[in-house]
Amino acid sequence: MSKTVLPDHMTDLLSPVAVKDPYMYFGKYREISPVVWNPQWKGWIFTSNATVREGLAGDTMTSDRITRFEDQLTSRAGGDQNADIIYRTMVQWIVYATPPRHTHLRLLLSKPFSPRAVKNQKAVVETIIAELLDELEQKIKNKPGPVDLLREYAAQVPARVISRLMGIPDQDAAKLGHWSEELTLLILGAMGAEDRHSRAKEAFIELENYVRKMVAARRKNPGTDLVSDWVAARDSNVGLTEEELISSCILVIFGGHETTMNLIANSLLAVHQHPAARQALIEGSVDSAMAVEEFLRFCGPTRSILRDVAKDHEVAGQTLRAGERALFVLAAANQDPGAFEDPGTLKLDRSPNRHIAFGTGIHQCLGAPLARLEAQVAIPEFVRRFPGYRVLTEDPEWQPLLMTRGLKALPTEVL
Amino acid sequence: MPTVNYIDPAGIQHEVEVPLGQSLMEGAVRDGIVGMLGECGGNLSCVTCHVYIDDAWFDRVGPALEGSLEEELLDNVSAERLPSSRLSCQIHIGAELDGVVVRVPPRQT
Ligand code: HEM
Repeated sequence: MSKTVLPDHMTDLLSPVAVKDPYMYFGKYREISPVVWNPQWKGWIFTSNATVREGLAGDTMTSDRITRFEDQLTSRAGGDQNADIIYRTMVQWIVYATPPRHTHLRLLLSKPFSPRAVKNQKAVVETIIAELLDELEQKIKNKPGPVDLLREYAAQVPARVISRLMGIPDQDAAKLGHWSEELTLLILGAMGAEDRHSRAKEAFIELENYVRKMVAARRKNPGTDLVSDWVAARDSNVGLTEEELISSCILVIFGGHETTMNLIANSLLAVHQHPAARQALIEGSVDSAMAVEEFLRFCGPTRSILRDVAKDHEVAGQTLRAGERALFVLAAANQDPGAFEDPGTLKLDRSPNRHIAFGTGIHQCLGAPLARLEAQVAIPEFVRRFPGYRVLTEDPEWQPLLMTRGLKALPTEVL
Repeated sequence: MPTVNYIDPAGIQHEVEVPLGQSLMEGAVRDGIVGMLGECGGNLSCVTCHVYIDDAWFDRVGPALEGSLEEELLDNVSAERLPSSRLSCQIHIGAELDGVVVRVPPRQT
């Protein structure tokens, strides 16, 4: 039996340095051991590409951590009714499901987000992004001065795209985005800030109400959107429950928002900091699909993923016990020198580039094709429209979140 | 060790040794074959390990089983679905597949 334990001064997962530069911070973990016990967080931390990949793709771990959430939610809320509603919705989420229910649900939900379906949405996404860039240009003309690209552009892209795919009117898109951002605090491991927890709960309830009304409306009046497709699937008795339908709608609104928003903002910051990358995007001398893979690797929005150990096993010389928790640090796996040459260097034409920004295994991101498409249009098109844009801080602040790599704001002079 | 011939999207053929029991997806990923993703690691979640089996080999490899998850998921692939389409994570190398030829489609996502 063996357990390598981090020294006390290295255990704060949200210390200023861990938040500012998780690549360096978790790189130090990796040097001690690619799988290491964090006594403060009370769990295993996976930081090498090989161990992260193996742990997520194999059967040694489980995603069913929802009972832990139940404890958290009910203890925070003092057993209030809202917490109960949130729990009943989240417990249906595919992210926590295990086979065979996961397999069944994944197949049912996969069609509209499959590579095949998303390929056909390219024109829609291009139109939306052109509109958003026009709106931004107009806004700056009317009111010159710096803008927060995170809110004024990056957040608008996923909100409007998912709204259009779900048949939701554009004027509601911003509302969905806002609710999603509030929810992050509850779900992605924000520390402290009790008042924000109650705000997150309110957002959840409003989003849930919105989705219930929308589902009822589509049932009465079906359209060609994905909600109507899912309602039809539900009503044709393929084994999708009403609660699964509602909670899956909420999940795809929420799940794609923060992530895609942060990918776009992180990438625009990276481009600002790398003049050669900016030049390549302006000239179109780099393939956008390749460039986005490198942004996903270099500054992807998912810092880490949580699992529980499903069975006793050994990995990297460590003895893991069923029931212990594990943190898979995708940011570290994506900059592991054992897997990538010059991992800390942004190379837009990197090949091969087997990053793990969308996770792997049965829960590998369902929205990956859509997220890729949005980023492949949103990032290069922004840079070409505003080739001289300047981020107004060299040391931007990052959100102190366990699972997310995202900025607090991206103040920018748009030129 | 059996060899597998992967023809990448540019038409270049790569002869790769793949240990018995490993999948065609794993063999390609380990060798860094361009155009092969296999993002979910062989878990039938991502459909990014799509290949076309060469006509001369199709009888020996066979189609996805009717009613199987693979068969359903083949409708989700990005490149055209052909009768010879398979998800390469579901094909495991046995001695009878020594020399098998597969084409990697132009896109996976
Ligand atoms: C850059 C954008 C995105 C990134 C980096 C990302 C990342 C991830 C990751 C790492 C996971 C695995 C979670 C785990 O294993 O516990 C995941 C799962 C998931 N993502 Fe995404 N995501 C993005 C965008 C989207 C979008 C646009 C959608 C919209 C449909 C989406 C929907 C989902 C769903 C439904 C799952 C759960 C799949 C399952 O449990 O089988 N994601 N995502």
